[in-house]
Amino acid sequence: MRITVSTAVSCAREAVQDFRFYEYLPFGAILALQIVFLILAVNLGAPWGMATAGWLATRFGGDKVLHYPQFFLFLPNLAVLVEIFLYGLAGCVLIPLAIARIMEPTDRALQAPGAIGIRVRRAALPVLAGAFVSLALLTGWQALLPMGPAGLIRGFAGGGLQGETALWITGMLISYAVSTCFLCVPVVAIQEGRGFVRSLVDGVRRSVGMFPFIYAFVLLFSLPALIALYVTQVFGTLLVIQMRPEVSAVLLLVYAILINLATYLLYAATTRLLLASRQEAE
Amino acid sequence: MRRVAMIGAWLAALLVVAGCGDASRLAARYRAEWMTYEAQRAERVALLGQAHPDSATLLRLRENYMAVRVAIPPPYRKPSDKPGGGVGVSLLRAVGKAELSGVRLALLAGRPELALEQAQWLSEHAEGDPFIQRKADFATMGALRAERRVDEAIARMHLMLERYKPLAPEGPGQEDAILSVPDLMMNLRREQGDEAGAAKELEYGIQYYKRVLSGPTEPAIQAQVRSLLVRAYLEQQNTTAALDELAALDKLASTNPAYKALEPEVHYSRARIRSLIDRTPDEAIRQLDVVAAQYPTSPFGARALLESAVLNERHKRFEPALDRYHAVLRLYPNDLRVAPMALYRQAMLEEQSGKWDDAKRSLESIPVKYPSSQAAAEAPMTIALRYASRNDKPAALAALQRAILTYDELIARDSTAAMTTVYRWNKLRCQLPLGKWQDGLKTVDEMLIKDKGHPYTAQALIEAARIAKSHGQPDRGAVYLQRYLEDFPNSPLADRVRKEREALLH
Repeated sequence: MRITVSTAVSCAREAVQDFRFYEYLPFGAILALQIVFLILAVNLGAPWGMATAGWLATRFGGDKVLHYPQFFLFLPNLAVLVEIFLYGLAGCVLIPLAIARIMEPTDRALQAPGAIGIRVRRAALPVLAGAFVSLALLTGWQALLPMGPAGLIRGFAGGGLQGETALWITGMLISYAVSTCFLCVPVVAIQEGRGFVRSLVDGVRRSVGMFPFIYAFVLLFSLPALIALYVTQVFGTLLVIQMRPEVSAVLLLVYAILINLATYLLYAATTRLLLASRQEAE
Repeated sequence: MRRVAMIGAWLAALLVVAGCGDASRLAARYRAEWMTYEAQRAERVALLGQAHPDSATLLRLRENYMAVRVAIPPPYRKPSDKPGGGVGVSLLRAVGKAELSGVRLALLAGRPELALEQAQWLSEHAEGDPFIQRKADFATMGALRAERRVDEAIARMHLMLERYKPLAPEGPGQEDAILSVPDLMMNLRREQGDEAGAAKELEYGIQYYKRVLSGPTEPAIQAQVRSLLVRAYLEQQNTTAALDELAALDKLASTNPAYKALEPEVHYSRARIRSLIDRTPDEAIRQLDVVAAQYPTSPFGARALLESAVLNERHKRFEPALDRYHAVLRLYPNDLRVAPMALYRQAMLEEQSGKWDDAKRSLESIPVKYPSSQAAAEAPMTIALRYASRNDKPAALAALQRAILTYDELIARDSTAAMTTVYRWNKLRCQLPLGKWQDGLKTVDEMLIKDKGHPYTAQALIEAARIAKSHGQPDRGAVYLQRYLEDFPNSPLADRVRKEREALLH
């Protein structure tokens, strides 16, 4: 099984050109929930906003984050937690559903009535497990970064804004590399005849096997979202204090939309890549 | 269909939950903070555009703060709230913060009656929170002072001293504002020219400090109160009591490294007591010079240097006095407690040593460098008086003209500052010798509005009645005297003024 660069490029191009709303809809649901959360978060002045997003914020940050404008400094952290929850928990059903819809035209078995539902239910558990392992590794890396290499990277880049930018880029590149290693798990899990362990092991093996291509997809599709995330995370305090605090919520909305589209395109391209490699192997 | 019903049920449950618990008060607090933030933002933008916004702008900005209490009306606490804590208190404080900002802007806009209304509203709605009650009382006191309702302001201060215990300082160099209230009362009486009242308030302050010390107090408060007591005794020239307190303060400072910062004050006070006790100033001057040399960064270092200069001058040692005034101006040019006086005294010494040009230059620079100081009020008049004492009439008249312009500039610079009364009074004193009696009467009319109840206004009214009479306007003179009787009913001159008014009317 050998994948060429031109195959990978074709897969990426096809993912973009063949965008179908039906396939995207499960991701749209995740985005809708994120938008609902942001609407609630920017309406803490209303009892319904305070009883929902405010309640959630208090669970993680206590009463001190429920003040204006301090809440907007905390909002990016809260949004990350919501994103993890949505992509991890709701995503263990919705992502395989989207992949099944992408695979449907080429997989006859999936076209049978109720087949998608059965496959999605079966894939949910390995996808959730993969997300947990990936999250655990990412948390470990995030904890390790400030203790270990952070000083070194900042110093190497010359400190100041350059240092912070270098640290942020390093952190993101490695986090995305870790996530890439689990990216094929839902694509493998949705295929016919895969059990829990096989889905997980095969998923990781395939991800590692096609790492350079998938990683390139990740970077390519995530780039616009990464720019929004960079501004939010590196200039967050400055935006809240110097500009309007609500800018933080707008940037998070932009990021949520971009990363949602990027994730859909990423899975669409990876699924196509995996199918192409299988066809070549056959 | 079932799904839709399920979502509907969830939403209904959410709305029910939103109305319960603290969510609605937390939301109200958040709204209050948001509105205050927006108001502060608008104020910052306005201040960027204009360094000294006019009163209309300030009142417009104040409206933004006022909107908070309208949007979030009381009550803020529930009977079930824990005392001293909970959402209710934080909501009350969020609204209180906006109200206090409104008070500040009303005072800046020269509308103390609006500030007073807001401060009283806050006091009425403090809902038992000592923090807000305290702030509201301070705001009320400030508004009463600005309205020149001195007796009421002092009555409020007495009430505050009875009501609030001093709080321990939060950090080094900090002091609870309540401890400075006795000093404020004394200065307020003094500003009114009421020296007997000032002495009475000084004594009241001493008794208050003693009362604080007699109860259980934290060492940090004890140290601050003792140092204030030393200052009060020195003001009273009660050297024996000052020495006793100083010994206690010295012991506190030497045994506890945390209060080492008190050392400059201890040494400074000891030198001052020496200057009051000793017949010759040598030892006091030596001690003051040591304090100035050892603690150049402490405010007491600056005060010691100035005190040493004044002592030298008082004992006709002009050269060393001049050296020290120069040193004060060189080392502490931005310290408003010492620099204006040092510059003024330096000018006086230069004049005495025949360097009139240098002296005049120094005097003319005071209103520019230190516009809100007593020295700034005195300097322009001093120049005119100097020419008058040398019988140089044209120069004296020219100096009076210049002085009027200077006072106008000083008033325009900060129309609500406490010194503006003195500026207006001095302006009137310049206008009369120049024969500008109509301008003079205009100044008095202005004082009647802006400096109501001030002793200078009382003097100005009598002067205005005299001027009006001498220029064939007895009715106008009678009106001034009538205002005197209305504004100063307890004045010892009231009977005489009444008779003069009767005489003007018939």
